[in-house]
Amino acid sequence: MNINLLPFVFVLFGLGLFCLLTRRSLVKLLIGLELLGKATTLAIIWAGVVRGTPATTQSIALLVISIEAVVVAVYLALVYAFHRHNQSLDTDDMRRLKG
Amino acid sequence: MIYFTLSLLLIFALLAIFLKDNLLSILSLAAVSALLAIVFFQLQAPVAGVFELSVGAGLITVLAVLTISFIQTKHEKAHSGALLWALVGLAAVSILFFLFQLFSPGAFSPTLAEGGWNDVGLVLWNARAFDLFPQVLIVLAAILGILALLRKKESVPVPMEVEAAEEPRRGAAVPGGEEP
Amino acid sequence: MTAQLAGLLLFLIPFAGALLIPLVNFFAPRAVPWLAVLFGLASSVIAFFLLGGTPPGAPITLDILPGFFRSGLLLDPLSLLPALIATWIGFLVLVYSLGYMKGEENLARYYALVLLFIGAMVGMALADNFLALFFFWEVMGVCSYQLIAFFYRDPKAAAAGAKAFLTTKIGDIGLLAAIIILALNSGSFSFSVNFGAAAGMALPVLGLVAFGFILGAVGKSAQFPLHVWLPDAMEAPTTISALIHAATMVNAGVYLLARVSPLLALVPWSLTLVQWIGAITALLGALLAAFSNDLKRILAYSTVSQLGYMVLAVGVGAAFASQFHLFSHAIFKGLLFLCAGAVIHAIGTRDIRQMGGLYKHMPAVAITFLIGAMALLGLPFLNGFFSKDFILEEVLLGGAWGPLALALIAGALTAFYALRTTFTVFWGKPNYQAHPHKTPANMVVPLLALALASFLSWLLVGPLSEAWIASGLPAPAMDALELMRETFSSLAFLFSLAAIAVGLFLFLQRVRLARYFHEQEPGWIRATAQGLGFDDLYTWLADRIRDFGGWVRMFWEERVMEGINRFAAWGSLGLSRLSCRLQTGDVHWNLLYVTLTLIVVLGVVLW
Repeated sequence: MNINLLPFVFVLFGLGLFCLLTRRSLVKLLIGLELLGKATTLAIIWAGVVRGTPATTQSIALLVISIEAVVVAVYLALVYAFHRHNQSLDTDDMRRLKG
Repeated sequence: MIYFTLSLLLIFALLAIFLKDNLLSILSLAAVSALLAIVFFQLQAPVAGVFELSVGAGLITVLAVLTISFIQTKHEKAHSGALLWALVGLAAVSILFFLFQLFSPGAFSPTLAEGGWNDVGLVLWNARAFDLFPQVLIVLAAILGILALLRKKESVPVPMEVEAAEEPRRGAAVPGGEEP
Repeated sequence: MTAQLAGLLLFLIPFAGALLIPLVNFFAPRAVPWLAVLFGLASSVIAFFLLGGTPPGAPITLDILPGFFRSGLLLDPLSLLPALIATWIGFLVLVYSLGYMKGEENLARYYALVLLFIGAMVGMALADNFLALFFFWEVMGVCSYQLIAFFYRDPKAAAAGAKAFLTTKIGDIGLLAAIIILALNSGSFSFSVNFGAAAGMALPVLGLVAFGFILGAVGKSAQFPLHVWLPDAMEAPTTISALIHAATMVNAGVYLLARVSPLLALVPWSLTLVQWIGAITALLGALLAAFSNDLKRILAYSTVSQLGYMVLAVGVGAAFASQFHLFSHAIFKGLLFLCAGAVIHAIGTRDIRQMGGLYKHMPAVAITFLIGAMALLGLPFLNGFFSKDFILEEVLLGGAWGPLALALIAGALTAFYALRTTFTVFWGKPNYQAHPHKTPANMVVPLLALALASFLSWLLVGPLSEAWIASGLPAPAMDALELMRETFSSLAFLFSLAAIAVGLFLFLQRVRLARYFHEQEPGWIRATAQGLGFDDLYTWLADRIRDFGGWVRMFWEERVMEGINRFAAWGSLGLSRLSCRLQTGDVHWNLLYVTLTLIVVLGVVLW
């Protein structure tokens, strides 16, 4: 099969960015972040496939995945704290730059 | 074969973005993770696939659902016609995707080398051993951050109107024994 | 001592005096006038060595800027004459000042400036290069303006000083331009080098140079059209008028023209220009003198007129004649000014209509003034007669008919105003208010000396012309007898006699004339009182220049600078508004910026 995953990666990345930039709910921002991360992971693996060194790239992809998980954890804690403070998940309520 | 997976992936991604119900979005995201793991398997990268499945589809989803359950107070009414949208989306995306592959630059037939567990293990522990130190640091930092974010607030003088505003709303919140 | 050493000392000693006087004034103010006279005497004595000393001796030159500029002394008759006049008449004026300036304040400044002036005049005359000449020229200008404005508390005097300085400055700019062009062309400032290199210069450039020199002379010698400063300069103490504005500084311009006449001869139109300037000035000066009522102003206009004669002479190539007349004029005009000073000192006013019948009170002054007036109008056997006729004859031989006609009309008017002034002041009905006081002896003696010189100075024509020819300057060879013969047998003699006769006739009809002008042509009286409008013209010009300066300032301050300020304000406001958008607190904006940056980085990396 003839395949090139690079455009797909770009599309996915673009979707992630779109979600990040245009949605107002904090959960949707999470979705966007996640999509970005997955696009990146896919790009790394695809690079390994192209170069013929899957082992190295998988190691890097592992790191990325774990970091991604950690980021999500902290993000969710932030969402929780924010909700406790402001009772809403809208980024428009986040505009006051005072804690 | 991989085309199908990829197009499904796209559909679920779109769903995750455009669904209004938070829970359903998270679940769509989980589906995206799972499908991505399948793609990894198909690209002969099983280690990454396993990790993606367990972490993305498992850990993240669980955490997110948990948090949302703490937060979500009322249920959004379900989007009628969502399934129809999904099917339309599926068709559209598949077509798009096939077109994509037809005209994508640099398409080639890769020889898929086996990236098995032994190889990855070797590379990870010998060549990329140093990467694990920052990794540990990040996890530590995340732990500290979460602890900081979730600590019980001591009696900090809060302005009167904020307290008054928070009073009526506290009845609806369901946190576990938190108080300002 | 050698003549060169004498020349060097001749300007160093007055300079030293000028520096010493303020110091002495600090300790013994009353000694200052006597000290000045002493320095003057020393200079006068040394001046004799200039003439009769051992042959020039080794030329004394000084390296001012090693490798670039070397200055020295030029001792030929053309330069000796102004130097000697400056020294000797300077000495007489210093003696006269003992009495005239007694009791005035700031005497140290006065005497220091006078000595400085004498030194500068000598320095200018004896310089052998243009740069030194220009330096001393400027020093003279400064001394002149300072002395004009000596009674600085009087606003008229201060204004007159500034006017003199600025008007001569216009000429000085021309002079400087000419010097610079010559120096650029020949690489040196010295006279000899430049005269040699001048032949190789392009005619338009030479024309510019000639014009520059003429401009300088016109400014310094108060020729038309820059004559406006000399009448106003009469605000100076009369001794200064005698020294600077009659005998020495105003001759600097004539000296300059005579010195550069080889250069002017290379540019055909320049000599014609000089002739006409001289002739017009002669007529203008005589005309304004005839209508004036201020004693010193009459003498000032008379000086302007006589200088016109000298410039005219240079214009026809008769430099010797002009210097001869300069010599006579210095003597009789100095005499006239000093007499005027005595009269003004005694009466207290300068208006001749408030004088009259002063012969009874100051006979010596009256007689000497009469002698001076006769010399001025050119009565035979006085020095003015011989020198003026010499000039007229040279003009006749040179074929300059237009200028000659103007000069003859001027001669008639000269006779008229000379006679009128003399008689109105010293004879006729007494009109004065105050009681005139006696003239002290130290003021009378110089008058007598100068009066005597007016009878005798023309006898020196023999030695003078010999010295001229001996040093290679063009001059007709004649001695006193020959001069007499030439003069009485020339056509110019007849013309000038006719002019004197006309003037005498006008004088005798003066009452009728005065009535005519007062009743029929009062406009003429008014116009001449205002100097025929030249002052107004220059004032208008100065006003326009000042307005332009004001406009430039307005433009710079209110358009350029203000524009820069407004632009800076606009810029910083705009920048601040832009950066407001960076800090909305909305996380989406931040994400947008991150995305844009990523795109840029991607672009950079890929390409």
